[in-house]
Amino acid sequence: MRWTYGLVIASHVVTLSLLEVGCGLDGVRGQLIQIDGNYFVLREPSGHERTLYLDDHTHKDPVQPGDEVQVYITKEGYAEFIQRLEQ
Amino acid sequence: MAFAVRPFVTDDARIVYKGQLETETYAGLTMTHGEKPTVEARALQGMALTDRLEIIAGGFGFTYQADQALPLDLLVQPKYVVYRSFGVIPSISVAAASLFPLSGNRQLWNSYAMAHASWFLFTPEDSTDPYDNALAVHINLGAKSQYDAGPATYRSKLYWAAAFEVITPLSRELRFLGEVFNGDPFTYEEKFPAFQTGFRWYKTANTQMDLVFRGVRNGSEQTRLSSGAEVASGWNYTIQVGFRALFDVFR
Repeated sequence: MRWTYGLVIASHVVTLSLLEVGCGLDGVRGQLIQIDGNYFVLREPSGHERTLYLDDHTHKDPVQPGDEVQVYITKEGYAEFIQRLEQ
Repeated sequence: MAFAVRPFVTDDARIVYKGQLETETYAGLTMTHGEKPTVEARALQGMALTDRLEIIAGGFGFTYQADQALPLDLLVQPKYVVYRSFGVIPSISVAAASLFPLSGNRQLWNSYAMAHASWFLFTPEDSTDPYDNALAVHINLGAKSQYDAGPATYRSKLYWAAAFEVITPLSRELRFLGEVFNGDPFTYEEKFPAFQTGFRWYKTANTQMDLVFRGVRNGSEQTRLSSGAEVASGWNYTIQVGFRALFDVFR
């Protein structure tokens, strides 16, 4: 039983540590409203707009302003994946 | 039973997209050593409430053994993706679950809490689906517990599982999978050795079918599985077919 408590405590420590350093990629859905080179502006359903950037390593569908997309982004706003959603 | 992404018993560190409804349906036949065969059929439903939180609830189904049918217990499992990553850095999620007896047996209450680590590897360069990979590896570590309402005792022990899924030479859509685990997470008495292997076919991005074969060695004299089936000591084998579908209900 003692190891079970130890395991639970260790899990909490790992979880809190991960929350502290960041949560990896966020999945965000929204509408592409502007593309300017390696930067683009995404409007979320809440109306909040984010300026994000991409590079040659970004996995990206062909997209244009007005498209609904699902984006996986880092805390710094780098888009690793841009998926065009069916309208 | 498989509570994660069907047909795995091992859970993965991912959830469905926010607003998607997931349904997993399966039927299987268990050749129980020393007992009559058991037929089990079940449907599970899940939905992601946020980008990181998913609730699986339901588990409507039944088992049929020795001319007796029993309803399966109700499952509730929240899962939270703590860290999402693709490639060599694993994704991490945590989940807790409990079964609520519908079969009338309110003596034993089973539950678990565990963490999941998943590696999603070799995403094709031209794919924009981060979960489109050639190899996925999943590891679970946690504890499974059982509350006995009679003497009001609570027991807990280590739960672990490890699984992989890999593309086959035939096609990317047909995957071979295998796993070993410390018994079903909802069957306290079950323990290693337990394995499952089989194939999953990704018919479309939102529909999958699978066929799996499972073996579990029961060490105790007689065990009642969480499904209600009775099994004796020795190896018990299950063959199962399943269907998993995703619906963009609120996506």
